[in-house]
Amino acid sequence: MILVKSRVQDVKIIFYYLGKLTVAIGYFMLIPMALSFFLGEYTVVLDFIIGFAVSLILGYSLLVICKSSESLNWTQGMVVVALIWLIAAFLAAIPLFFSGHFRTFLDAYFDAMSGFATTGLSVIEDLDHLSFGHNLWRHLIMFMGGQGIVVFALSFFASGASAAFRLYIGEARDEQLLPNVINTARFIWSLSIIYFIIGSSVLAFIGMHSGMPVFNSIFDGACIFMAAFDTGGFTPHSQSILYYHNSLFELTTVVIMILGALNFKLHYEIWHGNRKELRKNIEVIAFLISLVLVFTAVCYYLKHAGVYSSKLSLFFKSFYQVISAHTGTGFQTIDPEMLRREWSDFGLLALLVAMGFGGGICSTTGGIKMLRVGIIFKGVLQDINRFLLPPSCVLVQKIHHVRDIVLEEKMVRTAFVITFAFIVLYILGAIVATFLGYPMLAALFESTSAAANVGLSCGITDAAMPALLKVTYILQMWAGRLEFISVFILLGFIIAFIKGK
Amino acid sequence: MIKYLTPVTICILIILTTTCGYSSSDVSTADLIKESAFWDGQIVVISGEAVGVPIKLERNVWLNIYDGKRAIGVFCSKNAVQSLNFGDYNYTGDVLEVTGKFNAHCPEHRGEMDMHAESIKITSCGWRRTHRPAAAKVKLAIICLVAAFVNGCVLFFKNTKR
Repeated sequence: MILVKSRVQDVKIIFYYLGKLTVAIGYFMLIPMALSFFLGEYTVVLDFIIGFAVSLILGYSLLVICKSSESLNWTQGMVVVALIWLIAAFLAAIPLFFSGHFRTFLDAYFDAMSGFATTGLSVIEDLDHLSFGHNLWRHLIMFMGGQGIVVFALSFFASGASAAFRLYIGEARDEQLLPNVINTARFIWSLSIIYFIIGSSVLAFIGMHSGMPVFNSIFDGACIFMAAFDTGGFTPHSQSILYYHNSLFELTTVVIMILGALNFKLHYEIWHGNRKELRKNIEVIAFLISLVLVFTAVCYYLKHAGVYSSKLSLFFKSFYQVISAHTGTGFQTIDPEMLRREWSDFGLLALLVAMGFGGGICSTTGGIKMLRVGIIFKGVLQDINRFLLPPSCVLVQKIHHVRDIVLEEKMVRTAFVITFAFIVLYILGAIVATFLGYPMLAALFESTSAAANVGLSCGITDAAMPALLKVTYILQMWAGRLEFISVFILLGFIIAFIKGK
Repeated sequence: MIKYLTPVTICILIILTTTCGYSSSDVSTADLIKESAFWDGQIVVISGEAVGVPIKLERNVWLNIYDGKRAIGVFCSKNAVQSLNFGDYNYTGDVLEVTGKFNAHCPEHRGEMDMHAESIKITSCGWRRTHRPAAAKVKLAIICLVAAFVNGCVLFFKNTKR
């Protein structure tokens, strides 16, 4: 294989764009900083000042040193995306680390990456005493990561940048809703903000009705909305959703999680009056079939195992956990240890399948994604039909995704490759955890949860877990969120820079 | 001798069974979770800090009790929480000793793991937490801000020069 050596100019362009994005992330820290200031959390303000200033120092330095007027090519765009996620997590971890709720900087970095990747696994300690400022920051990074860091930067800071499309695609956004990628990014953010206003108001109202003080209701409503819509899974309290002890609150989060798991393209169609799409879309159909199958299997198993005495308990617990797993959110209404013990191997396996599949493509979820599952299923069906029909027969298989699309072999192959890469990633994490002494199924469960950006835990993830496992999960969250392509290109770029001719 | 031994043994057994039935055991939240099947339906005593805010449910409220490692929901009457301090960023909440029935899957509350309190006792009062910024952190923040400002100026002049 011939490796073309990367030029110094390539590196300069990459770092120039990284500088721009780094400054944008720094300015985002002004939101929690302002909240902390108004609430009198002055120590916390200092944490954000340090984070903000470090972002500006790094960003401005890159802009000065690597000044460039060239536009990004495909490789450079992919490398920028892969690197900005690592840098963003580093910068976001600075104020978190200074909160004093993390044992090491690696732990703060773990939570920051988990937030950006909308995973929701957390190694924070004493969460119930965390400041409002830090808590808001944890949820804001989830909101930013869910929509995409690059989408965020494009929406607010870009003005007709020609490199925008390459960055957008690099962030595992396979679909463009509008002809202009900046308008697409702005649509994604506008939609998210409309849902944010409605969703957080409903949650805040339920909180107030439950006797929570007005400020706490609004704050928790906003945080839970961001975590649910971005299928993240962080919560402001250590008991996850159990803290609220309210069935209406749980059901509202179910609706928000499902909205978050839907493709933004589907939202676009529905918002523009094409409601039929909801019934015909291959992703929605695949999601519903998979959801019903997993839920039925879990219910049947738990009923026969006699875990829950009443039907209502059985329904609430299994439905919530399955929805949370399938949408990749990670909210739990069962303690992680009880989940592992009571749901036993079959229950965990069922959740593992739901987590591995994930939600819609171009949504805030992670995992294989339902469009690929649908394509693979249709592809297999097409192959079976081909054997059954006479050789002279020409078989055309179609799928409906906004419009009717003829299923081509290339599409099936691409879906297979990404699915295979995800499965390898799930297994690799499990191998590391097993090597470190964790049981096989629990290790596979936690690894899938990290790589598919879900956040459900069966008790492995905590501050005391080995550093090697933390690093493994960080890399899994990163690669899983970007769906490999930009990560592979980054690796290729580095190798080419060192070994290329 | 045997004549006395039988009634004495029976008396001891009766005392043991009756007291066991109504006794309560001190247990940590982590142990309750670990051996939930064993403790299910038993009267237990847990100790921990009241955190968050009380959450109303008709004439009762939910408290969240955190023992330093795990938290659990405690269902109790409204009157029991009226004078309590709850822990958050600014406060360390009251440390409570809660006696009540532990439910691994409460049939009354959609299968939640909870405790229905019979009595709540404050064992240690909460206090306001003070957060004084460390001098080193203040210095670091100032240095970083100055450096960012200088970098910003360099970028500004470099751009205007062109």
